[in-house]
Amino acid sequence: MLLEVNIKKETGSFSLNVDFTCDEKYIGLMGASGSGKSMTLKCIAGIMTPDCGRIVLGNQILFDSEKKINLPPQKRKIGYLFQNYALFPNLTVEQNIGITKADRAVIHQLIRKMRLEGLEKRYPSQLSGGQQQRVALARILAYEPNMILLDEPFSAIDAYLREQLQEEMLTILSEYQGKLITVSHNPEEIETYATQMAVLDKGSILQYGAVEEVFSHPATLQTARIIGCRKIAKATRIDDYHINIQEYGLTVTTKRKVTGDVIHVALKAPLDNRKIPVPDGKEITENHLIYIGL
Amino acid sequence: MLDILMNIDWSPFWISLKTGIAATAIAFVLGILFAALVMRISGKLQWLIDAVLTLPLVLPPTVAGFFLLIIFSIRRPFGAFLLDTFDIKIVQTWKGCVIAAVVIAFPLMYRNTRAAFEQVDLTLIQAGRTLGLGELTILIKIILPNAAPGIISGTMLAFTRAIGEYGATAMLAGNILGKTRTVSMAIATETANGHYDVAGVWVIIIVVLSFLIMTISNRFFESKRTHVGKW
Repeated sequence: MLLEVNIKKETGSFSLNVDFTCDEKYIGLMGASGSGKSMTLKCIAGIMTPDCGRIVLGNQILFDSEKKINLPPQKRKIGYLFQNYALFPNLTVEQNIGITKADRAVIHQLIRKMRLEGLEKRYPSQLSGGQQQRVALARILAYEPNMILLDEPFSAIDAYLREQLQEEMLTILSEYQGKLITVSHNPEEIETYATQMAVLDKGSILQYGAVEEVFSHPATLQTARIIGCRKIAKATRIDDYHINIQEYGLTVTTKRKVTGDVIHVALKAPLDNRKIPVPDGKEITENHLIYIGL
Repeated sequence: MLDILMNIDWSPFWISLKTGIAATAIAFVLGILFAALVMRISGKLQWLIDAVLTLPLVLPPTVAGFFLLIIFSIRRPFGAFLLDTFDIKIVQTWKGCVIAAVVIAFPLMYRNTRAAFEQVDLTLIQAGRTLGLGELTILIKIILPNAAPGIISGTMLAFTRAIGEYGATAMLAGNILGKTRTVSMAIATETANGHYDVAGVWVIIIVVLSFLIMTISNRFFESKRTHVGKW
């Protein structure tokens, strides 16, 4: 199912201008807070209205300012997992999940699948963060949406639980047939939940492409910083396929043709986590590097 | 003392109570509807509607009563229309008591409800919408239950204000014993006639009643809210 998003929105000093078309099932939007990624998601869900543009999912036009189409969120069939989960505090787990559906069998199946048995009569305030997240997800799945939007899904979860919950959610969502858009500032989450991604900054897309490509070859220093590159080092061109990284005292062979005189490199995550700022040159090969602007 | 109590005409108490209940019921529905409406609009229009709806709270009740009299007087188009078409007379009747009390108590209901609505997490409403719930369902199932404490406090305040209404009631409904004389009206009349003992009985009744209502509503809130430290 093709998703086409081309929207503009001005709010005070901020201006959003996002344009991408994606056929992949798993899409990621990455950016710092205030980059417009959540706003993009809200426009897609219909709880915010762009000033102009078009949003099309499959053969359904969700928004088209020229044709004066603006489907209310109720008609879009798009599930939205809010950062704070937005569970209804006055309703129990069971009632929250069942708010869109009367079929008790389906609700109980979801409760079992989400490992929420025994918590049916509890209120959201009596649940842990992870349980709340599963209830919110179950509530969305009960609605059977065409697309699910995850807005910073793990930002409210303690760091030590995050990894486990990420995998758990992935298992649950792997059975889901529709499209999935994940918004995050966390590179791990994007790598886990997306195959195609857009990097946003100040309301515009800096880079758009396959997740592997963006993470291994960020186009600019700005993109590199947003996708989480630290300890960025300068490299100079030797010839078409060789660069020298002075800081590491290292010359590497590149797979792509070097065009500019100066490019930048950063270390991939495992090496990046090392305490020693400049690792022993011998350990590093071209496979350990992220090439910025190549 | 017993003599006073035996000879008192209790009709003002029942008129006040009936007026209070009827006016609160009307203000309750209208307050919620208008608060929900104002939450849906923005900018200058919101400011204007908000100001108009709050006006009776800041105007002297006699001014509100004056406007009501002008609207409902049978010598004026709307009042005449009501009388001719529906055989409804507002001025100098119990209906007038209720309308005056509604107008005066409404802003308390409206403002409290609106403040409570503003406290409801917007993402709950947005979540409801993305889950395909209709706006009315969202209002009834999500917004009202989560705004309940503020709505109840608004209702309590509206009720106490409605049973004590004097100025606008005097203008619109008059002071007819057994028909439109409320407790407030009785206190003024008895005092004017030098019957301080009878007026005193009414004053005690009103003070005790108001105190009771405030106690009940405070109790309710203490059990609902989480512990708040002293300043």
